[in-house]
Amino acid sequence: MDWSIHYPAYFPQRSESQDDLARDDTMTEDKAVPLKRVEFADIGCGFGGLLIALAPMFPDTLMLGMEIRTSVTQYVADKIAALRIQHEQLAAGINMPLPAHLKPEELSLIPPKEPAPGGYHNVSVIRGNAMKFLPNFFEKGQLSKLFFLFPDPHFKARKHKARIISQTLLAEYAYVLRPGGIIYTITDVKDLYEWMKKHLDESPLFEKIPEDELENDPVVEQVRTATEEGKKVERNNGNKWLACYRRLEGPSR
Amino acid sequence: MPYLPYNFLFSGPECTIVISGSLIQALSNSEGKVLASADSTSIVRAAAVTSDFCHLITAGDDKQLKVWNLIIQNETSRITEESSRELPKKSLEIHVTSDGQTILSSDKFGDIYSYPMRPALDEVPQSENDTAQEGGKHPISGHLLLGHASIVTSFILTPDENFVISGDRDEHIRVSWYPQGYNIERFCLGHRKYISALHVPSFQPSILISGGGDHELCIWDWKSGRLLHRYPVYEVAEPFIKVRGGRRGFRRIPRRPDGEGLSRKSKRGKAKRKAAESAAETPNDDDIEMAEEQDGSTSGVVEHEDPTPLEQPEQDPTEISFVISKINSLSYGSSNFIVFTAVGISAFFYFQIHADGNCSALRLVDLVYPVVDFNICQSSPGPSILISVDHSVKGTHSTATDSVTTDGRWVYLLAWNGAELEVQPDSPLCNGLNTTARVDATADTLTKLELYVSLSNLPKSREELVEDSGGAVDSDSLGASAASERTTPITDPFATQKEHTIKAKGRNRVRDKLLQNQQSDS
Repeated sequence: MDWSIHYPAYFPQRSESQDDLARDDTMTEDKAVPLKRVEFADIGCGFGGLLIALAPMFPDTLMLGMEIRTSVTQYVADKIAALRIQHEQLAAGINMPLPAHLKPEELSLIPPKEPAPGGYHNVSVIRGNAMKFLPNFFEKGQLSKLFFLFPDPHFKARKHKARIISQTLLAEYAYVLRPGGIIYTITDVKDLYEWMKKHLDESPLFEKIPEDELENDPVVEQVRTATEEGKKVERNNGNKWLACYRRLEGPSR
Repeated sequence: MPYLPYNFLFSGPECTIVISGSLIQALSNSEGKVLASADSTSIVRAAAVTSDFCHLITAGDDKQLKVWNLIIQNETSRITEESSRELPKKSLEIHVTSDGQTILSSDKFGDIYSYPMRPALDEVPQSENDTAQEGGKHPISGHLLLGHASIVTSFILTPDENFVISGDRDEHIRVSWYPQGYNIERFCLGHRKYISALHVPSFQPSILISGGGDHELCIWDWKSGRLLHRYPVYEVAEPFIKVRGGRRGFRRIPRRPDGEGLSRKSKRGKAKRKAAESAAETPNDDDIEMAEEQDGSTSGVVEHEDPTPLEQPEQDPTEISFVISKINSLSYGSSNFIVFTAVGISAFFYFQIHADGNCSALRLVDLVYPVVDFNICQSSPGPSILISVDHSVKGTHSTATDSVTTDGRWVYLLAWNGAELEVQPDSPLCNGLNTTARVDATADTLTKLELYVSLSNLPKSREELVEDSGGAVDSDSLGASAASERTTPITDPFATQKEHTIKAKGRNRVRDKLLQNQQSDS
């Protein structure tokens, strides 16, 4: 896994000899331990709303979006690339003038004058199937936050096994999350909320985070409102059900 | 008249249990007499014996999980059915814990369930209304131990039974706690193709040997997930391939001159392609749909072909699938060996493994006919190996000096001659297995056995590989590449060089124009 494609500011471009080392994967010699690892993962990140909101809030934390749709992944990648360039320019003092013809409400869409902390170098996106290949991307206990925002409800009974939260998949999510790490779920479909809550409640590796603790978590507000899906639910006056769980220490022997 | 090969062999202290099709037989080791037999009425797909050799557990096409009592007392030996429970899905593989109390079973949906050896009372139909439905028509719900996102092709319990190691078609090997299967200890990632066999040797329980479609066996320190060694096996095994399989079905080569050769084309190709196209960007629909289609399409089409000249399948070498069927280990004196067989391949392979992890050269014994199953028996001076072969496929060797006639031997015994394994003349047990215990087979039953179906349904189709690799078609990536390499997007979204699609060109043009305008304005 070449992380330098995603976070060039943090991982040096791999040289030829390093690539050869990587291809010989029998670990007879010690591999250099990477200095930084991804800590937040947004599964089914869609158009990247959450990650782009979180990136400046946690400028020293690497975060990754996973999306199965190729075209949507490309959109998010382009957006991040553009944001990086834009914020580099802002940091370098290149100011972009405001177009004169814009209305007040459109002015809020104008990019900010201040460069964002981290410059969006800490956020990236990858096209992948998280249900099948999550352990290929993340090592044991690597993540501190895992996000499942407005997942596909798969309404039909025979498709329930395709839901992103299931008894079998929770074992994999617990594997990539470190003890103390948090899983955030939100949906506007009550049935799916009940389903996810039930499976997480029944899992010996997760415990529910009480409401008052959630109020103090700045991430929660972004989870509720930062995504396109979240905004759509608001426009349609839908309900949002949030369920957040903490990854516990595993069984001991 | 062909016979059924022995799909399962279990060597016990007094007798040997063999299963061919649906028939279970117990033969005495000393005389090779059939002591007892029982018919499971449905082809047995998975079987295991308890460590005390008192019980046999089978699961067949009828989805019945059956526990059999093995009462071996010479003349009054019996095999009786103790219980029968209906599983929700057909079992692929069964293991039983050493205390004989728990049965583990995997299904093609990637789940492993555990069941108590003795069915709980509420699993037996109780009410009067149920008298019409006999024999447990209520599928029991076992305890879900763990699940993979694709079919679990092989699983084992470690010798200390503290862990379950399971492998799947998506190149994952997962080490989970037992009985707390929800707690994953580690993933062992490095296989480039499906896994099909796993083994932890009791003489070195910290290592795992895994095999599948890769041309090498992988040796791991399974607790840390470190790949210690890739041991090449394909080049040595390749000349002994007797059944060739590819992604679109298989043919047995060569045809028998009397026209008895069977050829079977799998319908999977077309159905898979359709499912993959319609579900290209829906997660896991294709897996679920394919699993459902398998019920219909793997029964395939049986054709009796005319004795035409040998047809070589027009596939390039990369299309030949390789499936390791079983890995085991044995100790002979102070030497430790890893042994294995592969689907459709007529040789029995073994190599010495040293304490420091070094492996000696690969050795083999050629049995002319593809090996179906093998079992290691304790004997002197060293362990001997009982091997069953599929006699309905002839080898490519000329039969001039081959004393094996059309009847031939269905079971071989290998024993040590110095430092080499050699085929032995038939022991009384082998004699019995090669004569009285054989079961007549019709072409129909032979086909239903599906001995070589894994050669065509384990390898991934072109569509599946594209789907895994990120949706972009790149012929290089479809070759043997590590899973981690494959999941990075082929079209690097952050590439600063120009992309070549029209859309990308347009995007770049707009972006560049914007930047230019800003620079010229400031």
